[in-house]
Amino acid sequence: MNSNNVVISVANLEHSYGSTKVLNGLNFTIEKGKIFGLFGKNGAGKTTTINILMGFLTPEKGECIIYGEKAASLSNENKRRIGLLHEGHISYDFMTLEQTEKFYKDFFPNWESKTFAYFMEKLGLPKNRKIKHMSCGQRSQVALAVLMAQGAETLILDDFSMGLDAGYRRLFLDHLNQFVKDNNKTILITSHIVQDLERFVDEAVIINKGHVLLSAPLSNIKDGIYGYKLPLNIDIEKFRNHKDILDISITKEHYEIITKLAMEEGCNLFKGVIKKEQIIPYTLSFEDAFIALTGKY
Amino acid sequence: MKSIFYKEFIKLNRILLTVFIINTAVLIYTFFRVRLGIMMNEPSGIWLDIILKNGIFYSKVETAFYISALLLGVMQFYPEFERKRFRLACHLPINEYKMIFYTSFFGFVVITGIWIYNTLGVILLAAQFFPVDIYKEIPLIIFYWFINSLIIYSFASSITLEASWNVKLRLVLLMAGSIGAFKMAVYNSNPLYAFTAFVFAVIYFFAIYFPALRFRKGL
Repeated sequence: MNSNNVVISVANLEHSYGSTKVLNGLNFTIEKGKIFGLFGKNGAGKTTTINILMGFLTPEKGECIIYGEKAASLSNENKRRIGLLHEGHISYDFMTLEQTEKFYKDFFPNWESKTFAYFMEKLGLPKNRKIKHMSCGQRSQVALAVLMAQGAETLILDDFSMGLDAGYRRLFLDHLNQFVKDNNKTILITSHIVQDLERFVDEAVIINKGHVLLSAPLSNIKDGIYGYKLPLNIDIEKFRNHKDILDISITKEHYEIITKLAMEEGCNLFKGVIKKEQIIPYTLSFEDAFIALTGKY
Repeated sequence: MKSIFYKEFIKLNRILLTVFIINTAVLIYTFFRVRLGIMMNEPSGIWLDIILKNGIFYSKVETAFYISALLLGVMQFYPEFERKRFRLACHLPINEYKMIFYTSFFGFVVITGIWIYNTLGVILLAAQFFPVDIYKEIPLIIFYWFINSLIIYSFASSITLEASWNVKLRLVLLMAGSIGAFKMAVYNSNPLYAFTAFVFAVIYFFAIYFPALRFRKGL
């Protein structure tokens, strides 16, 4: 890894709330131009990590460096290079769209009025509409428009999907794809709806209880794990605690088993319980892999 | 500063209108109350009240002033506290100390405006009914109310922005003590005393930095 290309570096991050340790020596780096997903179940430490990265929480140990500066004390120049999307798309909702642009424009010399206008046109709302009178989905578009128009090189997007329906989530990612990939922007994104990001992120870090479970390019996340569908009439319980079975889900028609065993080994495992022809392999989604790694609870 | 003032003005335009209406209403009420008092009673009786009993015929203006400062402090910082919106301001490419200073300076400017408005209003009102000896002390008296209003505003802002209830409670106690101490200073016509009180009140303004920086660092 070329250290000149490192935009965000998180090293040995530790943090506790009271006696509960939420981060246990977290490490990862994000290179320029990468779209990086930070994933974890509720309580895994994602929001704590993001809060530290945004400089809104002082970690007990370790450090976060963004563009060579400590995250808690960024210079104005670097603040301009980093766009933050806060959880819940918070914005100055007492402002109208027009006032929002006027306000931010003063702080960002490279403000791209055309980009802002593009989003506003897509939104199809009058410029004098106050943000507080908009739906959650519309607010997410305004927040994204502000981030894009300010010309930030790196975007930190905390739980962009919060409160958004499937349509707005897809729209948000479409816009991100359009503006980010063309402009070689760096992104750190978190979401609790992991399947949305399967088509978007380049690399992923999956954390659980403050530890990194896996850090890999997204295309490699599913390496070494397999999915099989089994009929519902078998006794599945005796496999539930098997060391190579990562997850068992029940659907309307099948059991869906996620395991570390390839087809042949899988057939051996279920030998005597089920015929080989009844084992149907299926392609795992990113969400399947995520559940297999972190568990359901 | 222009941009921060712009944001604060948008956020508070209705509150500013409310504050203007409250203070104007109180001035009008005071005018009619004094007029009615003079019509219904012997003017000498009213003068005796003012001179011998130190009765202040415009005391309702003090209450309106304090309510305005309280309203301003709460309504300026509640939207920042709500949903942690203050984070947006913290990430603006501007020094955080400056950002906090400009935000609270907006409040200072509004309170100064209320002080000037009320002082002129009460003087004009008093000039209709009383000789100059009666109302020449008005600017000084209202100046002390201005000082108290600054303290109320500073603490109302700090208490609103502070996330911890424990710290909020301590700030409330500190505010009560501070206002009590400054109330005792009222009517001291020594300019040095008035200036010292003003300097102390301005120092209280930095109370806003305490919860703002705690908020920033996630303490």
